[in-house]
This record gives sequence, C-alpha cells and structure tokens, in this order.
Amino acid sequence: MNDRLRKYRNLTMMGIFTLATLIALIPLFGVLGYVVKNGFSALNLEFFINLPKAMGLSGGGMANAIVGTLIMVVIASIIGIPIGILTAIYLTEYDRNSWFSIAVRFATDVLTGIPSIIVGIVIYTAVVLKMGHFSALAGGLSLAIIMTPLIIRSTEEMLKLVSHSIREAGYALGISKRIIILRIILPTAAKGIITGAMLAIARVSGETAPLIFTALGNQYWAHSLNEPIAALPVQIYQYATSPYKEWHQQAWAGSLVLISMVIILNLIARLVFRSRSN
Amino acid sequence: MGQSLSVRHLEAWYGSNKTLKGINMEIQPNQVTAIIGPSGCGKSTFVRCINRMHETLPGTKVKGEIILDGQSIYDQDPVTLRKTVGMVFQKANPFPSMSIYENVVAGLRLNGMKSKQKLQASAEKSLRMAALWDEVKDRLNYSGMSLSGGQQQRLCIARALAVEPSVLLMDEPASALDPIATTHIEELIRQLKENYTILIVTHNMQQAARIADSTAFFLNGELVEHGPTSEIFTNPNDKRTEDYITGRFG
Amino acid sequence: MSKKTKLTASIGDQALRLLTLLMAISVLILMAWMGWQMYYSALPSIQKFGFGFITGRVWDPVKEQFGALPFIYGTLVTSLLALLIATPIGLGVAIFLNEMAASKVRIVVAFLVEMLAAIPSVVYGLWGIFVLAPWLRETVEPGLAKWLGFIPLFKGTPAGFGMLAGGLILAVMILPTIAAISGEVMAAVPNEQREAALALGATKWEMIRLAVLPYAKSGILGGIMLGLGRALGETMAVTMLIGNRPDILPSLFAPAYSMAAVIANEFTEATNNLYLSALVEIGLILFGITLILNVFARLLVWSVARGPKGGTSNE
Repeated sequence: MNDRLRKYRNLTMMGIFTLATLIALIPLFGVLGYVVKNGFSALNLEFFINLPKAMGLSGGGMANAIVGTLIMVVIASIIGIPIGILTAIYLTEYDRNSWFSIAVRFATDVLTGIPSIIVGIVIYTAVVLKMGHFSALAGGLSLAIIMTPLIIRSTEEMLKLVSHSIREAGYALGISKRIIILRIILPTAAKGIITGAMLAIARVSGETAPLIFTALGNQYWAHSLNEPIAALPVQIYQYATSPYKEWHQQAWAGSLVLISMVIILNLIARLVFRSRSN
Repeated sequence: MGQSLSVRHLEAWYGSNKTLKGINMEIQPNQVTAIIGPSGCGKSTFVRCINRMHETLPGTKVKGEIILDGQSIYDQDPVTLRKTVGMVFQKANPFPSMSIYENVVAGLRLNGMKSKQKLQASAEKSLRMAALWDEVKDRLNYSGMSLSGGQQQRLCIARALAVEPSVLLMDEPASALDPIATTHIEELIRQLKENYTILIVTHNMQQAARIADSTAFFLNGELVEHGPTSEIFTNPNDKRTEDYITGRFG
Repeated sequence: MSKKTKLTASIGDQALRLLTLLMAISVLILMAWMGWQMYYSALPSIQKFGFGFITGRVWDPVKEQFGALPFIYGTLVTSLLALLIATPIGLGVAIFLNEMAASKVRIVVAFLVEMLAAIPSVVYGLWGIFVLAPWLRETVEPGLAKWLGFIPLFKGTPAGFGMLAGGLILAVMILPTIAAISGEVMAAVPNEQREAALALGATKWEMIRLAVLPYAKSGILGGIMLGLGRALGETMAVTMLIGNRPDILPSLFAPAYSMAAVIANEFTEATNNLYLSALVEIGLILFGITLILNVFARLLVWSVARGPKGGTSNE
C-alpha cells in the first residue's frame, strides 16, 4: 500500500483515539461542573448542621444524612476491613493454590460483580423482615457485604507484592509464621492495604441502592442503630426525584459534598500509595 | 562457639525432582567450609536443608539425618532450630518497614525480648561484628533500605548474628555486590569464623580459595569431594573436581 | 529450648491460621447464603408463574399478575445501547493511554478516567435529570427524529426520559470499566510483539492492529462483558432517567423500566408475599445473568493478563 496513505491513516487513527479520550472526559467535566455550580450556591454552614426542612421550604440541611452515611460506613468498615484483610492473609500466606483458595477467590470475584441492589434485597429479606423494621444496622450490613470483597482483592494484591525473600529472612531468624505475618509482612504492605481500604470506603459511601430498603432514610435524627437512618446518597435520590425546587437545590449541594468526599478519599489514597514507591 | 555438623544420607526432592542424592558430610566447627559447584548442582538446596528452610517451600521432601551438636535437627521445632543456625541470603533482604536498629534486633525483639538495654547492647555488638557500626551508629533509626547494597548485606549479617547462632549459613552472600563490598564481606567472614561455624555457598572459586578452610564440591546433587581447600584446588582426588576447577564446565 | 516455648508458639500460630481460615470460609458461606436467600424468597413467584415469568408482559400488582418481560426488555435495550457507545470510546481511551500518551499525560488522564468511575450513580442520575434529559428532549431527540425518524428507533415524541437517556448515562458509567480492563490486557501484551511489528516498518496504528489487538482480543472481550454486567445491574442513574413505565416500545425515546429500577421503586411498596417474591425473582434473574457474565468475563481476562490469581508461594 502507498506509504503516504498508511501515514495518513495512522495519523487519522491516532486522532480518533485522542478524540475518543476527549469525548470520554466531557461527561466528567459536565457532571463535576454542574455539581459545583449548582451545589455551591446552596452550600453553607446551615447545610452541615441542620436537619432538612419540610417540602417547599428553602434552607435546611442534610446534617442527618451526612452523619448517617458516616455511621453506616463505620459499621461497614468495622465488619468488612478485618474480615477482608484476614481472608486475604489466608489466601496469600497459608494457602495459595488449593481448590479451596480458588473457590474463595471465585466467590470474592462473584461478590464484587453482584449489583448492589441485590445485596439490598438479601439484607431486606434476611434482616429487615426478621427484625420488623429498617435500621442503620441493616444498612451497615449491606455496605459491609459490598466492601468485604473489595478489601480482600486489594489486600491480596498488596500482600503478594511483598517479596518472598522478606518472608525467608524472617524464617531464617527463627521467627514464627504468625509474627512474620503480623509484624513484618503487614507493616510492609501497610500503605497499600490502607490505600485499598480508603478506595473501598469511597466506593460504599456513594452507594444508594442497597440502602433504600435497609436503612430506608429518615428526615430526622436517628436515635439508635435500630432505626431507619438517613444517608447522603439516599437523601440526594429522594430530593432529586421530588417535585420541589428547593429540594432539588439541596440535592445538588448534597452531591457536591458527596463527590468531594469521594474525590478527596481517592486523591489521598493515591498519594499515600505513590509515596511508598522509592 | 561454633558447633559441628554431621550430615548423613541426606536426600531432598523438589516436586518429583531429586535435588540431593544422598549427601554424607562432616562439617568442622569454627571453620569456613565453602560449597562450590555448577548451577543446579544442589548446593543451595543442601544449605537450606541445614536450617530446614527447604521444607518451607511447597512440594518439597527431605530424608536423612543432620546432627547438630549431638542432636538431630529434625527432633526440634524448626523455629527454634533457626535461632541456632542463622542464614544470610544472596540478595540482601532487610525488612522494609523497619529502621536499621529495628532490623538488627528483629530476631530478638520479635521473639519476645523486651529489655531496651539488652537490645541496644546486642545491636551495637552485632553491628560491630559485621563491621557496620561506625558507618551507621549515627543513623540507627533511618530506614534499613537507605543503605547501599554492601551495607544492606552487612546489616543482614548483623541481624543474623544478633540472634547468637552457632552456625552461619551464607548463600552466595557477595554475588550481588561490587568488588570492594565483596572484599569487606570476605574480611568479615575471616574474622567471624573464630566464633562461628560458617558454611558459604559460592560460585566464585577464587573466593573459596581465599577464605575457606575446607571446600566441598557438589555435582548433580552429589557430594563429589570434600577436603582442605588447598588440596581441593591443587590436588583434587576426583577427575570431575579437577574438570570443574580447571574450567572445563560450569 | 523448653517444651513450653515450643507449644505456645504453635498455639499462637495455629490460632492465626484458624482465624484467617474461618474468615475465608465465611466468604464462601456468604455467597452461598445470598444465593439461597434469594431463591427461597423468590420461591412463591417461581412456583406460581414458572417459565412464563420471563415471557409475561403484564405487571399488575393489583391483580397479582406478574411478568418480567418489560423489565428484561428495558434492561437489555439500555445496556446494549450503552455497550455500543462505550465500547469504541473505551477502547479508544485504552489505546490512547497505553500506546500513545506520554507518561505525565497518562497519569493525569488515567486519574480522570478513574474519577469517572468514582462518581456515585445517584449523582449521575441527578445530573441526568436536570442536564442530560432536557438536552435530549430539546436538542438531540428532535434532531434524531427529524433526520432519522424513518427508523422505528427514533420515532415518537421526544420526552428526554426514556431508554435513550438510560442508555447514554449507562455508557458513561461503564466506559471506565471497559477502558481499564482493555488497558490492562493491552499492557500485558509482551513488548516483543510490538517491537517485531515496528521492526517490520509498521506504523503505530498498524502495530496496534496487528500485534496488540489480536493478542489482547479475548481480554478485551472480557472487559466488554464486565462492562455489560455492570450496566445490567446499575440501578440509581437508570431509574432516575428511564421513565419507569413497564412498556415494551420500539422507540428509544419511549419510557421503559429496568429490572434493577423496578426493584428499587416498588420493593418497599410490595404489600403481599407474592408481589415481594416476584420482585425478588427479578433480582434472582439479574443475579444469575450477572454471575454468568462475570465468570466468563474473568476467564477471558485471565487468559490474557495473568493466570488465575494466586500463583506459587515463591516470589
């Protein structure tokens, strides 16, 4: 084929790929732009301290939703992070290749691919119906189920990165396996594990579907973990789909808070991770 | 004080591959014994059997007897054994999450020793023995990874010595180092042998000639010949040894 | 060495091993339990409607007549539309990042693509309601109706909310998945392949076409399948944009309903057992489809990028 033609074709394709990348980034800036523009004006101190106002009234805040999200994320982390790290330790340090560990990895992958609303269904039928009411506990449990496989995956990756000769050095010093894992390998992989945890936290903070019928939402403060509780993404959803303009404003503001949380967590996580590589 | 080792009929497998085919060897205390041989001859495997590291790999099997100071090493908990038989690896492997000081005392601290005094005393003693004290004494809390390759290896030696073993196994300890660092390590080994029994695996025959009191030649999983270094290199009994030494193969 | 030290060391070690083993087992149990829980809750509906559930077009809670076809239809149409848009763009991004961009550019752009993935679904929905849907209703859909209105896909009244909106927002959301996985498998193509093509005088595009893409083919397919899986299960953004009407209409402008959306909307209103179990059955179908997709997708990705994770105990 004509050399010039090939050259033009090459340039055209490179141009197309660059164009594709630009197109892909348009919605990112679109979403971020609108969230910042519309959310910023509704954002004030009141937003972070006050409870929502009734429909049709302007002002008010999403304090309960922010706190609710924090509470459920904490519950999810308390359950998900230890289970995740311990499972990853088992898969890396004790049993890498048996059919059992392959099965566990398979289950982990399956769990990461489950639509989050399915998790909501399961917790609804298993917990909410049994308890007879919606609760922060149920919401936290759903988030834990979403979080655990993420932690297993990322922790396993980080543990595998620890050079095997470090383990051997530990053995050669007459140190028991348990101590090698807890006081040599984990500290070595710590930064990466923390990064993975932060990314998982960022991910579950934004989850709405599993909370709709486990935590349900609440216009007021919840007084115990056994009550329905507000969550930021759920509140955004309810406001966005309502007919009230004032609530739409609040939804934008809430989105700004939510996105900021998520992006900040992502940024910090990546900075932490980059600082470990020397 | 160093101890004597008696190896009887040692056989080892890696998967279905028989890597050691019946080794019989007596290792004298307070001497440097070099293990030489071409790649794949089993010298690393042999040495890793002595501190039972070979078993930590999956799919391995060991048969035979190794007697350390009158007791079979297979009668002991391997974890305790490894406090008596220390090891230094080919590539220096200081613990990345620990400082220089923490690395040196790792073997003591992680096994339960709490007394700060004893730990600090041990750190200084071991670092002096490893000829590293003067270079690091002002930066003991710097990361272990901040040292040069040769220094890291000496750090690993100090770390191994801190546990006060009687046997020191060294698996090609200087092969990843430049000539100057290598000279330091070799000088160190000469000094250490007064108090330790040292086994050093090396592919560098000149190194063996320089520092070892006795040398053992391995080939294809067998111990071909074992004797005083000077004899092995000037007047070997076995033709295979002679071929290797004169560079006909390996 | 006292016997006592020997024993306590063993106990501590065994304890850690046991603990981590229990955690690993609990993961297996969790997955099995979830599957069982869903099946059990869906049982009344499964028993009543049988296979007709999937082909039934009527969804009437009052008359207790439940058929899932409208939701399957809505889910499939929006997901396929999303795939059609996101696959070429996602591949383009992956090629740009892996084969073209200088490393500083790559770091920034890769981060931005990850941010696309990090934005919560509900925020996409919010933006969709107030920005995307009006734009579609006022500009895009009338335009499509005018120029391509002879195709049934583009007939009908532009409403903004409907399968087109749903498909578009899904495209945005699954694009990072496709880009990331395609990028991963392309990076796994050995450099020797690239160098061989270049040494023969190939242009960069020819090298990509001849050396990289064929090698990475099955992995890319896996990435597409994972993207599809994600699209099928996506809930919030879709339910905020798809119109939420259980109709089966050919036009992309028409409102529809997806499986995840109907569950999200009607679950808390399901007053009786049959209604609830019908909704759970929809969830079960969704679970099953995404499960199968995920398994095949991962096998495909493994075949290119690396073996089944784990490897040997050596480094």
